[in-house]
Amino acid sequence: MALDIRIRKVKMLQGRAKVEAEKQSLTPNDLVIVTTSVNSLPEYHVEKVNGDPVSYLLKRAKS
Amino acid sequence: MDNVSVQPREIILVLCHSFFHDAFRLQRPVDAEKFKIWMSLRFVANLIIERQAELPEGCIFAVTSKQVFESFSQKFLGDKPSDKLKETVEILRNSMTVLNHPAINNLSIDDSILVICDTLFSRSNYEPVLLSDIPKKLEKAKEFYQKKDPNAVIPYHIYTAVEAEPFLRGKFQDLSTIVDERIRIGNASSQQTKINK
Repeated sequence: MALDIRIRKVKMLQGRAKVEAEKQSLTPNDLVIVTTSVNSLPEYHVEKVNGDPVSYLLKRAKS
Repeated sequence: MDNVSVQPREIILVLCHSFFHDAFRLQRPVDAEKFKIWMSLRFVANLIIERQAELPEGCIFAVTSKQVFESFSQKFLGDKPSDKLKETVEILRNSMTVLNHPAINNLSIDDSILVICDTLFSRSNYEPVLLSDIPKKLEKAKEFYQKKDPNAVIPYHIYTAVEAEPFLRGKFQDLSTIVDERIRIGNASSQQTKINK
């Protein structure tokens, strides 16, 4: 289970989470789901939210 | 001369249980009137997530009580929730502030929301807006305030989703444009998925 999971704008990310977003060529206003897990060091998984967040979350939950 | 400057109040949305149950409904309502309400709720819910996503950690745009959020999450999750469904609830919880305080947790669902609104208003730096699609909420709020003073008035707005939408569009114009664009992209993507099936 993730330590934390939340939606952030790319422009708000810092440090290694920002690096993860940069690897995906995201724009500053893109919304992303940032999942933080701990494996000795915190790890950040960044997933782009396509479309509006409510529809995306509901679709994601059904998949 | 009074040196105290008056800071503009920051808008903060206080969410009643009707908001959650309708905004995150999995099926689109067929009835035209319910569809209109659902569209406004979707707009407001998206605006909340959008706004919270760009605020520094610790800043609040939407708030609710633990009772309200748990009432929603229990129904949303059902008996055997998938990991993705659990994640959705956590993401929503992190897109707002869910107050967990014994003094509020012991209150009824209705009173918990009214106490939160009054506390935020009385601190002076917030302009609480109570979002509720329950017609009796206004009466409940009047009863709440008139317990102590029969002439008391409700000091903040109570809006339905349909009323809240134009209010928020006026206050957050740029953000509303972004939300509309994301909804348009989301709808187009859903249409394409249906065509491909």
